[in-house]
Amino acid sequence: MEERLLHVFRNTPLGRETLLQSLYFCNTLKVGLHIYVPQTTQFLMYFDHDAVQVDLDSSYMTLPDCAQAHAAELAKQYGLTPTFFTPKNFTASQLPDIPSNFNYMCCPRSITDLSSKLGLGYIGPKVRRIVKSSTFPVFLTSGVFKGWKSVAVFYGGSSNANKALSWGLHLSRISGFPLDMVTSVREHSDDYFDQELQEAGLYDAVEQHVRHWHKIAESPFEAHLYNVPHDALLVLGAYGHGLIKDLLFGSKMETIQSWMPNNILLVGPNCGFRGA
Amino acid sequence: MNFSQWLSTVKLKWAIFRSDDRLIVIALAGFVGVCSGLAAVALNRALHHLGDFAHGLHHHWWAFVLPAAGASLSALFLNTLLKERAGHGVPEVVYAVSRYGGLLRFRSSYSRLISSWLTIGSGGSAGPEAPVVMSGAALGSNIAKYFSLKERQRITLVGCGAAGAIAAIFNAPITGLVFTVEVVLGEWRAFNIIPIAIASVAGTEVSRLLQGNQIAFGHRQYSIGLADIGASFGIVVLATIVSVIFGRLLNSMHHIASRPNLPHWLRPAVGGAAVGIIAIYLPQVLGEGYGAIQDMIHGNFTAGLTIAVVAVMAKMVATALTLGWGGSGGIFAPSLMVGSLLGLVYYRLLVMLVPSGAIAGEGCFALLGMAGLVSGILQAPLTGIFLVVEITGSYEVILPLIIVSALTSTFCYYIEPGSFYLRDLIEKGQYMRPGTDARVLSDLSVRELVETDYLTVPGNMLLKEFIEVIQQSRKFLFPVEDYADARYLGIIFIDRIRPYLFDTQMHTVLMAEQVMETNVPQVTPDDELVDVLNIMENARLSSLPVVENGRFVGMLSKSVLLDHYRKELIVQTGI
Amino acid sequence: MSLTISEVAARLNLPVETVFRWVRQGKIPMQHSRGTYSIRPEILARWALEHKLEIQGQAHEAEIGDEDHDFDSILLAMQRGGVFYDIEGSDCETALKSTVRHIPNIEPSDCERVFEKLLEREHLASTGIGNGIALPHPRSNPDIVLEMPQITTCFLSGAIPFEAIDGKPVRVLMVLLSRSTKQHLAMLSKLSYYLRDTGFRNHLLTTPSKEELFEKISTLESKRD
Repeated sequence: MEERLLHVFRNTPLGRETLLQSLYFCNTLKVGLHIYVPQTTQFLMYFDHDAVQVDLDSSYMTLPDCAQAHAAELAKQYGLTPTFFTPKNFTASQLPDIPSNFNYMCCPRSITDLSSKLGLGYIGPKVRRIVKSSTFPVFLTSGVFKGWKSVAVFYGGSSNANKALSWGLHLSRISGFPLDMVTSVREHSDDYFDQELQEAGLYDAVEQHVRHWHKIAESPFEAHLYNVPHDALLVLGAYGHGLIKDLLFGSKMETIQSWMPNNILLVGPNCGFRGA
Repeated sequence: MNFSQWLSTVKLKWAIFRSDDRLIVIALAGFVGVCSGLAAVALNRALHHLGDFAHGLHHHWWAFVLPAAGASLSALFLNTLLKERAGHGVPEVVYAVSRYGGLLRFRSSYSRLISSWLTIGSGGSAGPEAPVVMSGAALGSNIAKYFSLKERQRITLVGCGAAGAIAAIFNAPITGLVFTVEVVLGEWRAFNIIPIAIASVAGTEVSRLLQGNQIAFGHRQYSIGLADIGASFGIVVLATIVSVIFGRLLNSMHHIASRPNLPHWLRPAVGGAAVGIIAIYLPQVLGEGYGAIQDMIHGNFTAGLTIAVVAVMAKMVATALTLGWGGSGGIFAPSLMVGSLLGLVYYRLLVMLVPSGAIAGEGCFALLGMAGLVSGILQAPLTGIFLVVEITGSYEVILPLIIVSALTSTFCYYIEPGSFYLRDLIEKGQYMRPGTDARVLSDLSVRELVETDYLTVPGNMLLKEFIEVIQQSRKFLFPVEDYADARYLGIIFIDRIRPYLFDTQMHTVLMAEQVMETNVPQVTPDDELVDVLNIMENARLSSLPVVENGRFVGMLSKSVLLDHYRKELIVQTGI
Repeated sequence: MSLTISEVAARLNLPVETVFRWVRQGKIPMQHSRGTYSIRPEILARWALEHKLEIQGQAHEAEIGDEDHDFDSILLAMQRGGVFYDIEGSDCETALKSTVRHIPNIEPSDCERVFEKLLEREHLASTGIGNGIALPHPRSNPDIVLEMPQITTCFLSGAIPFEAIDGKPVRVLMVLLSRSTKQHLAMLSKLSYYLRDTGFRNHLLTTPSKEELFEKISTLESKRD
């Protein structure tokens, strides 16, 4: 069946940019767009092991009467018909339940705080919790709409990174855009990454499909991120290994998200492997 | 058996042992019971302190503002500070258990404690049981989340939390167990009983350790005779009437309160102020009322009959004002108090007609009244019975107790759809007990059941070509799509086009579009299965097309549904 | 040795999403390691036994009606069945009896049964399709050991009354034998199609030699393809 992306619509110019990102994403990847126009400032998402209460920033409730019309109009320009989602179950009268059985979700970097915090380096706590619990990747949009023309996977060799790579390969295949990989090779031997790829069964796919594999050996790692194209969609796994690291995001991920203004697809620890 | 065979059997047994979900739950149950017991004790102590403090201020003329202030603060705390849109405690737990496997937010484990402390401690007429149950349940849920337990285990731990809380409050382990099974979980399963019992005991022990082996109400001895058993039937009638009135009063107060457009923190103040005013004349209506109940059970209620009657109504109104207007708390304790007052009134009326030696004392009837109200308004007869027996230690009362509880809850069941806690859920159709049709259907979804291996035909396909399609296929129906934009148009049923199939002259003249059925009801992948089944019944179809965004996705058939339904039911009610 | 979710789903005859949901809800005990779920077959078997659920075997069970190979071609069937000349017989019964004796690829012990079945079918309704040709076949599956379907062509020594559709006497019997109704229907349908060709029918009535007959058939088959 068709895959679905959940988008929570903010009826402001900022929200318009985010919706344009989602529309482009859905159009490129042939994914159905499901839009939730909030009727209350809070909602609950029930995942397998967590119930995340999202308290939306008040700008999400701007002019609710014309919100749906605005969204539909934007979608029409892309030739897409979105499905407008109305919640059926409520935990409390002002607290609708939003299902979590989507395939993607679009989030700005912060969903609960003021728009002023939408800069680099900040990912809101609720967004982090969603990424941690969700079985689907989260599409973190940059502030202004830019159509991405390639996919760049940040590969670190861990099982999460393998998952992210599988998603990157899938996106590249469906969209037809080229796929690059970026790795910091400073801490590992040369064949470490090849070995990991072999074990994950991704080696052949990488050989065939990847355009450039930027292996960055110098430090600081981030200074050389300039090589990543400005119009690339970044794909990365969201958690490092180990218990302590698991409590916070893996540190590479923090670096990347504070340096790169691109759109990012975060593949959380509960996401599955994306098969061919 | 030689050594290697024996070793492999042992290994298999060990693997089964490890994979058994029950063990870790049993291991954690005690811990959860202790935590929820601590929460209950903390609230109890805090209420005592705040209550004493507020009591000291009662002689001032402005004392009636106290409940108002407390209720306002609690609403502010809950809604503005913690942004927790209040459900009402126990229904929220039942909802989470029945729909989401007991997932509760972490903030619920302390939020209700604090808000109800503010409401009740300042004099609001509400009970601390529901908030403590909510806290305990949330604690259990989050401990389960920390250990990444599965849904079934999490539900059990939620039950453990609730049981530990009730057991700690009343110092009554069996009551905790029975309440959880009767109200929160709704099912009695071998899987659940051991951990819940452990948690109950743990909660009780915590309470005894920290508060001593005192129970809210002391031990008494009663001698029950035939006359008392006869008299209990009278209590049944009264308790039924009062339970129904109480429930309706709470509901209507809620409706009245939502009409004026007040900011959400001011609304409880109105209710609280009204309670304060009532309290000027009848100070017993303040707080949870355990003190008054204690007096009544010991036969020390000195006020006259008229005051008692007025008190019954006043307490009900005060509770409705506190809770209906937005205060935080439960109805358990107020029901106990209303019940004992009722029993008291009944006794005093009875002694006017019957010589006083014939029946047992006032305290006994207060107890019967308590059980009657609990059974009536919560529709939890077992909880009522065990509560009274455990907290008074008097087993002789059991026979009239059973009569009162069982009959009251049955009569109330005929009048009201369900327990007061669950009324909201029942009205919205969200009340689902495990192993019921609604529960099974809520787990399944159209997405899981839809069969997508159907060949579609374009609308402009001639009948001649369509016959060849039929030749190759095994299906009996064929969805038709618009040839230009692949929009779903309708379905061709093979059995309905027989007249055209065998008329060769029609083969080059008719198109798929012309022989299809267009008024077959459609369903979307997000529809609820209950609705889908109703559509199937009404349209007398055994298969419906699933259409999303105008595109055909697949067919949903009753036969596939039956197969999955059976398996789901087996697995849901299995061990 | 452990089974993955998809394998478990195949064995329980359920979609993968359902099994996935059951694992998350704790209804089926699977271990989680490195992002994948697995369960040992013995534990799955024990769980299924407790819940009275069936586990499908590894070999995919065939659907009803799918047991045999599809029918190949008339030419091959005729070649397997053989062509025989000057079959004796004055009426339907005797002709069939002599025909059956010639049919290759069947056990001698089965001959009697095949004959009975052919006769039963004739009694129901004549298999004479007109123009001197008949297509005898068993009334129902004669339960014989037969590898591939075959057509035995028998030219009778004299024309015999057969109660055919057009009332004309029959000179050619083509006995159709196969293992399943599906094969039989496929074979019958193809043969009937060829027999609609007047040229072919007339050719048959001239009692051609084996080689000529097979050549004619193969031309017809290639024309059809």
